[in-house]
Amino acid sequence: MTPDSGAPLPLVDGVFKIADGRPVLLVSRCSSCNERFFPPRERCAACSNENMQTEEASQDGELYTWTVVRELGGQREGFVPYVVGQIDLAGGPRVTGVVVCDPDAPAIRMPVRLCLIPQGYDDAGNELAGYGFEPADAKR
Amino acid sequence: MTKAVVAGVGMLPFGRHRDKTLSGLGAEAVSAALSDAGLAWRDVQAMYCGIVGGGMNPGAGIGERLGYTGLPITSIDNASASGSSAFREASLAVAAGRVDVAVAAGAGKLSQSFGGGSARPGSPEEREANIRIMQGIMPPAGYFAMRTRRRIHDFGSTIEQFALVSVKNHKNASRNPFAQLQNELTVEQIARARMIADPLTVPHCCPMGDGAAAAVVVSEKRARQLGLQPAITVEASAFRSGIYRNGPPDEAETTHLTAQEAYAQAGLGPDDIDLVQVHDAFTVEEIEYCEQLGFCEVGEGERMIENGETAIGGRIPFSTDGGLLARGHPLGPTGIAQVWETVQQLRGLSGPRQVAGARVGLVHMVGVGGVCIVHVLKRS
Repeated sequence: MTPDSGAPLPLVDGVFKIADGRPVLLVSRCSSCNERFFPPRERCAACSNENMQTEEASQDGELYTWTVVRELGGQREGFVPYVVGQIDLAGGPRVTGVVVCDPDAPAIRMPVRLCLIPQGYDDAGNELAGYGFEPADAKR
Repeated sequence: MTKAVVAGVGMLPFGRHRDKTLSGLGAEAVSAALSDAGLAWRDVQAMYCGIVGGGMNPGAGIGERLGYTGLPITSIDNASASGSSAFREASLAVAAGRVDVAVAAGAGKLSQSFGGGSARPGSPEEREANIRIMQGIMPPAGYFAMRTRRRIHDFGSTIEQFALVSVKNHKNASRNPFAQLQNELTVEQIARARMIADPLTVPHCCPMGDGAAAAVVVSEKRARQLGLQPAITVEASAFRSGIYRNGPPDEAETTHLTAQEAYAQAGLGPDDIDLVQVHDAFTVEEIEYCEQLGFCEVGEGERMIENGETAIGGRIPFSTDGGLLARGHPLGPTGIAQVWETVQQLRGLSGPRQVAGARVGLVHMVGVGGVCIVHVLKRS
C-alpha cells in the first residue's frame, strides 16, 4: 500500500483501482444471470445468487441524466453547486457520480470519462482520491 | 386460521462486529435461519425487522443485500422489544393465512452507533459513507431532479407542466385548514423560486414540517354495534418492495405492481376510483403515478394535469388536501393524513374541496428503501 510514485490511493478499497492516473471501476457480474452491479456486491440483486465475479468496467460512458445540487442540508455555500449524474458506462452498468464540469455544461447523452477527484489525505499523509467523471473533451 | 410454526433459526455471536454494517449483520442472520429451515430468500413472502436506530427503513437495507424479490419488509422500532415485535408480526402474518413463509429479523450495532455519531475510521460504515461521497451526496430533491430531467428528455415535457401539479395542490391546500402551505402559487412564481436541484425549485418539492394523524380500525361486527353510517371499509391493502427487472427498481414500477395487487384484492379497477392521494413529494411523481396507477397511458401524465383531469372537479382528482407538496410531509403521519382526507371525502364532509359523489378512494405511499403501499377505501 506504500505509494512509490506519489500517485494517490483509492479512497475506498475494492471499489475501483487507479491505472495510469485514472480510475477503473470494479463491477460485480452474477455468474448465474450475468447482471452487472456497481458498487460491487456479494450477492446478486436480480436473482439472489451468491457467486459474483469481479470485472473492470469501461472508463468511458455517456450521461443518462443529471442535476445540479444547489443546496445541501439547508447549506447554500461551500461545496455547492456541483453536478451529479447517472452515467451509462460503455458495456454497462449505469453508475452514479459527481461530474466535474460547469453547471451549465451537462446534457443528456453527453460523452464523459472517469477521472480522479482528490479526497484529502489518510493518517499516514498519503493522498487519497475518489472516482468521478468529466466531459470526454475536457483537457487533461 | 392456522398455527405459526418456527421452521428455522439463525444468529451471529453477540459482541463486536466492527467489520460489518447493521444491514450486513441482519442479512447474515436471515441467511443462517433460511439455511436452517432449508428455504431460500426467494421463498420468503414477508419480513419484519426489529432494529433500534439505524436510519430510515433499516429493514430495507437487509432486503437489498439479499436481493430485490418484491416482498413486503417492515421495520419495527419498539426499543428493547423490537425483535419480539418482529417475531410477533411474522407469526401473526402466518397465522392469519396471509403468507406461508415470513421472516422475523433483528440486528443491532450499539458498539458504535448508539445515539448516532459519525462512522469510526476504518469501519464498514465509513467505507459506505465514502462510496456515497463518490456517488455524489444529494438531497432527496436531487434524485427526483434527475428523474424529472430524464422524463423531459424522453417525453418532450416541459418544467412548466410539472409546476402545474404544485399549482393544483396549493389550490387544494388553500381550501384545507389542516394544510401546511395554504397559499396559492402561479407557474411564474414557481419558475422564479429558489433552485434546489436543477430543474426543481422549492415549490416542486414538499416542505419539511411537524404533524400527527391517527386512524381507528374495527371489525364489521363492531362497526354494526357502533352504528357507523356510512361505513368506510378497507377494500384492499397491498404492500410491496422493489423487484429487479431491467435494473434496480424504481418507485414508478413498484407503484404499478402494488396497484395491480390492490385492484385485484378489491375486485375494482381504475375506472371505479373516485379520488386518489399519492406520494407527491416532488411534482414529477403525480405525473408518473397517475400513469402507473392506471388512470392513463405512460406518456400521458402531462396531459392529465394540463387538462385539469386530476383537479377537484376533474375526471380523477389527485391529492385533494394539497398532497405532500402543500398539505405537508412530516414522514410518520403522512400516510394516515391521506386516510383522514379520504375518509372525510367519502363521508362527504370535505366542504369547499369535496369531490362530488365520492364512493371509492385510493391511497398511495412510497418510501425510502423502495417500498410502496396502496389502500383502497370504499363507502358502503
